[in-house]
Amino acid sequence: MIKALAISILCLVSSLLFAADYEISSANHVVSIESDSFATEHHTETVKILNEEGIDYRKLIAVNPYIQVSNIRGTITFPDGHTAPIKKEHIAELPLSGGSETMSDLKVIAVVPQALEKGCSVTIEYDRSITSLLYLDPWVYAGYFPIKNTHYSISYPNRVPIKYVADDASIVPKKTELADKTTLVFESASSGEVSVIGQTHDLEDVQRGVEFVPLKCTTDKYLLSTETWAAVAQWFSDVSKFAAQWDPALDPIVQEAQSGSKAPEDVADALYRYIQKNYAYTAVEVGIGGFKPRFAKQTFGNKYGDCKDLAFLYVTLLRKAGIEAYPALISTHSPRLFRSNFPNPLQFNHCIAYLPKIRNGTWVDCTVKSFRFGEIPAEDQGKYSLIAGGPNNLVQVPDDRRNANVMKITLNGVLGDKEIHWTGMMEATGIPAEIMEMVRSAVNRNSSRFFAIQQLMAPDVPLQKLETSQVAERSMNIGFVLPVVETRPYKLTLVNTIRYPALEYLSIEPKPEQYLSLGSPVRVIVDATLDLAGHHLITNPVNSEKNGNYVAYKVEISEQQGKMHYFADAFFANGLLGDKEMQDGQQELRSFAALLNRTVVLQ
Amino acid sequence: MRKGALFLLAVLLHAPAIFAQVGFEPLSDTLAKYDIRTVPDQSAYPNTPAIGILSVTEFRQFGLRQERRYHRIVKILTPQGKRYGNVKVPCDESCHIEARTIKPDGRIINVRGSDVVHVEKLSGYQTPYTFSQFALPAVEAGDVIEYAVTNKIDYPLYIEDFGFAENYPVIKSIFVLIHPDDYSYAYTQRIAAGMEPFKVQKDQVRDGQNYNVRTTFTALNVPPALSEPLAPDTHDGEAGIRLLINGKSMRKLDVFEDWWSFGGFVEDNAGPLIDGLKVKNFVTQAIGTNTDPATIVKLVYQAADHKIRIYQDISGGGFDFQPPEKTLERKVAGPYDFAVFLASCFKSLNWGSELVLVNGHSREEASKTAVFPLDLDLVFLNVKTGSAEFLLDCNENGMPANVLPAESMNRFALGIPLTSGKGMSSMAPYTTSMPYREGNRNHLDMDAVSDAQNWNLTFHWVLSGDYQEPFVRAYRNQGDAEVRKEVSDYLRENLHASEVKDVNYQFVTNGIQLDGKATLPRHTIRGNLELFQRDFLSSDIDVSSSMLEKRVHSVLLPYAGEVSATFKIHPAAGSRVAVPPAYDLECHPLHYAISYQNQPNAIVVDEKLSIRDLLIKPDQFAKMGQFLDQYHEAHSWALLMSPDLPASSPAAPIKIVYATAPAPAPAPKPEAGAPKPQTPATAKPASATPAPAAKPAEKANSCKDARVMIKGTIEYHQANLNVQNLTADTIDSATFTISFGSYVSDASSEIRNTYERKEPIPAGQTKSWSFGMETSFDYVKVYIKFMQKGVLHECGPFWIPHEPEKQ
Repeated sequence: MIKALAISILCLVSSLLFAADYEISSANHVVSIESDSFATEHHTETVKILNEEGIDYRKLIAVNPYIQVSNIRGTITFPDGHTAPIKKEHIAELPLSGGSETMSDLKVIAVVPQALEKGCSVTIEYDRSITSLLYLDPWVYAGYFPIKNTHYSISYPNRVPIKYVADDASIVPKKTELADKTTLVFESASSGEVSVIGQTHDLEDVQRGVEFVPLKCTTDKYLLSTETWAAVAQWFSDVSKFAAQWDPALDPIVQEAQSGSKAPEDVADALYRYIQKNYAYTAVEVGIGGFKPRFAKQTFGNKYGDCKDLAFLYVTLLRKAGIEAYPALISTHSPRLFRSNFPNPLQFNHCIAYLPKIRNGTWVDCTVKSFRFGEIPAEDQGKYSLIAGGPNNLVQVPDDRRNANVMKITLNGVLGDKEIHWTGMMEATGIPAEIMEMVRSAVNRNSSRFFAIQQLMAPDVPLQKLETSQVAERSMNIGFVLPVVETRPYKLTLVNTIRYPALEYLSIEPKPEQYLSLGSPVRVIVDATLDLAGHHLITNPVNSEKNGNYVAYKVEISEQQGKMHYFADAFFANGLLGDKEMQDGQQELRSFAALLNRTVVLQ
Repeated sequence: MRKGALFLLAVLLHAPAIFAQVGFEPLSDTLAKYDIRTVPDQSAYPNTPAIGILSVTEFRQFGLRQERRYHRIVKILTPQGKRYGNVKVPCDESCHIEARTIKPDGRIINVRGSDVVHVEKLSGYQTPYTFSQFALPAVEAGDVIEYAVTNKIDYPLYIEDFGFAENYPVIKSIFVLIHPDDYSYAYTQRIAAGMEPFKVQKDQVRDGQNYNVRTTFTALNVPPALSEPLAPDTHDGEAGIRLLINGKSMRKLDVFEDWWSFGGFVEDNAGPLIDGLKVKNFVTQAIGTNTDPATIVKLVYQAADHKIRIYQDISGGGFDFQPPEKTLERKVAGPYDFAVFLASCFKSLNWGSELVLVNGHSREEASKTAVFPLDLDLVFLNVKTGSAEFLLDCNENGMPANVLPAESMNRFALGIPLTSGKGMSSMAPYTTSMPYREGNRNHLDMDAVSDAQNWNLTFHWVLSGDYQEPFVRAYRNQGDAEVRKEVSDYLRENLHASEVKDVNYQFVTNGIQLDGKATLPRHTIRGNLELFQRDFLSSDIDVSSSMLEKRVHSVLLPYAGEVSATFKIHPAAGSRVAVPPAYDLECHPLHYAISYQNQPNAIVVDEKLSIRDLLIKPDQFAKMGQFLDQYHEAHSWALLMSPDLPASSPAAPIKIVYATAPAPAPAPKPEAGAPKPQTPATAKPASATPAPAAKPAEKANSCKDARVMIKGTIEYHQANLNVQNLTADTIDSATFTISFGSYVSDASSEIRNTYERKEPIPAGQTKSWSFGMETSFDYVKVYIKFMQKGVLHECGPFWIPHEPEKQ
């Protein structure tokens, strides 16, 4: 949804430059609210290029049909004092390139100053006008680049009051009231920088600033009140008023779902499987389409839809089957970034369904394929959700992250003179299951093998003759050979070749004001049994268990009746971590790594 | 608009315009027209998500513009295949799209215009490109989807690298080229493994008063484009047609006929070079009072590197050049423009230079007969100072002079003389092959001493060539603090130990040296039996044999060069050490050796992996797979230690040769009609620089009248010479001509520099000098000229061999 705008720009910027290549030496933003659906803004920003990498600086300004940008002017001041204007041919409107399954009207205007060098200052100013107050620019005072001085003023007529929320309690504006107009002025000097690293697809926006939302405004023809969450839910219900309207063409679907068991849970399960099997995820987010779902009948006809289209179709089918169900807006971002006391629809970026009467409340995400009814992706778990049309309240989705993304590898091996042939099975739930499904249906027949080599197995292990075959939707057979090295009078061999991506985070140096966006939680279970063929385990038996805040694990190594049993069950909580949390997390990771005993000694 | 920019657009974009189009014909008529008699069902393609029934791509050339039409008919076989119903096409507001879904019962559901998402222009600023997107409606397994997209492009069709492959298999794929009969195109076919050669049909079609030539290429059963890890980013292994214009308006365009013609074309476009006043001033400022050619080249290159930002876009290169003074003014340049700027700098010093265009590993393999200019993606400048030649990398900032990146090693190259130096004759373009060149080295020396709990590690790491580049870049960018950060990141990523401390770095000739300490917990297995494993260091090469099996594409290794380590491990007092077998494994272009030696109170593990080429081709996979299995087994070594272990001595390495280097190619012979091939400084084939008849170390280091003796040592990139005056008279000054030599397979390559030293050498005494290069070398060959009592003496050669590395 709309917050994707900020994230897309963030990804674009983060791919171009690194921290402290330049600094914002001054920024001035003047925002004037003219009505409940129109505002004008004037922005001026001066950037100083700090090093050679910084000469790639470019200003990106998001635009869509609600946002108009004009009068872009710029000047470059060179270290020797001479100046040059930014020419119009160095400004371009560009589409944001995404996958073919996402269609959006979001674009950027890129201002690309030429011939920059270290020490240059670039001043860019532009006018921005918006026809929906949902697109008011936030004021960022601590961003991915140092911000030395920044000033933000927002004026609004008293009939269109604005509320705001700041990331730091110390941020207090100067407020002036004149006639029927109120002006808030925010200022900050030398706020430093914050940054986030991690995988691009799950980067979180950790910039610090002040967010503004009108208490009341009109979006398209819909009146939005942000005074309470219930009011925001009401607005979403208004926007989506006709989406769940019944159409007789859908009758056979419900009849088919009810043809077996008529128990509500079974019918809900059958309808979920129908959606998963027959509908492709295709997002069309144009205009109010970022929030307004299609009619259920339209989605039924198209056989594709985005999260809200699919959720509404599902809710429509459930209601026809007599099952109480509601759409629920949800934020898949870290709950620590969610402002639960600041009702604002822009905090949500996803839509799922809520069935209050089934299993004391069941959440269903219709955009995922390899999840069973009652299983929800880790991205949704523990997150804030606004249930619309019924309770109209903000709730946190239950959290069972330990069982959300699980990879279990069960292996059996027979010790030979020079090698061990391991065969077994990998079973997955959650995201690993989605990935397995993707490789299963890939055109490349080698995809599952490459997946196993690259994603499942640790790098630099002496893995040989790896073979995979898919046996079912969420499981895969796997076989490989590992050498046994004769180190007289013992034999050495690897028994756990599995990759633990979390261990790679040990190479990250935690730094103040740097967040780590580590993605979803993952649990990896390795359960291996080795026929020792008359040999014995020399490695000391291990039986250790620890439940940390970031890593929970159990490792067992033992010999019984001529067989070695190796068991390692590790849960990595991941998520968005600050530097102190990362340090603690790394400590727990080190303890886990020390116990892992990937190599064992036999005789 | 610059011609270069035009070319960029031609290559990268498909900017379309309005094109009126009739609706789809009935599917059966379309299939009949193309002689497709059956539409397959899933039983014929088990587990295949979708199958292309027909793909027709038509390029039509009209005068100054062209039109491209893409028509696809795809059968969706499984629910997963529905993803092919989402289509994204480069397009502008007037391009034409038609699309429909055809159900098995014949029902047709068209994509409505309103369902095509095309983002209108939202501002008053230029929109150089955009695209349109649509999703085929109501798609289910068993449906057929059909769409056609037509674009009109406002520039002519010059060059195209067309691939038949889609993301799904295609039963019949047709590429049609239509052009006026006063145009002509040359083409080459690229046939995928297991495919039949394309059927090619040529006829004429009438367009109003004019006749057009139509060439139809038909490919059957086209395999899908597969994405494989470590594959070069090329169409390697995929079916395609490579088109090059060779006639326009009845005029023969022979610039793409062969590499020499293309070289001449580039030369014409580049020159004549003007070394204007600003360029001359730039050079004067850069070199100061230096007179040594090697120093001057380095200073000019470094100054240009600091002043000018190289952007990595070669698409316009060769067609249009930015004048050198403009480059200086804009401070940004593409690789070609940067090379031309440097050439004009050196021209002001009366030195000649050549543009050397190299077929990098990320492009399809070029050869003397496979002429396709887009394949030459790397740009170098070879500078000839009269006494030596220097190869300068113009592809990115921050590279040292005379370092050959792995990306260009062992690859085809085209040399194009830009300027001839004073007293040098002008040359014609020539083809050559870039050699493998030593220089990328990563060597770790580590001492491990145990205390009660830990192994205390002391390390000394030397990184050179490509390995040092991030550190040099960091230093240039933000100085010491940034290098320290880079060093810290490098160590964290590559050394998985705790308490890394006392870390220092030092730039040495063409490299960086990292020193520091760290600890590693001791790992007790049982009782007093202890395990010391190499797994605290990151992988040297993360490619397993399983990655080579059943794959289509070649493998591009992450680096070429040498990674070596010497571990001196001091076990606890009284402990004996059990070691795994040692190996010496060869599988060209890889070689790996690991050995174990007992020393008093220590065991020394020496290992070295050499990679002399990035590319591993499918015909090497079988042997390479065996090599990799053995390599990973040996490389993931572990030592067992205990006082109770029996005494043993490490065994000699087990030598296994999987594949040796092919015999060197015979010396190139000039081709009839082709200019004689030449080679740039670092690209001398065996014939250009004769290899020493005997090993250099066996040569006598003496002058025939025994006036001087030169001895010395080589340390990485530096030759340390001790010059002894054997006579009773002072030597006033001396001029050294030094050839820095590297062994390359079965030959050697040399770079020759001349140095003047004015310090006298008193009678009977020895004077020491050091001479460095940007790259490492294996030996030096020294000639000395000096005056004594008005008589000029010339002595040499004195051979200084490469010293074996310290154990």
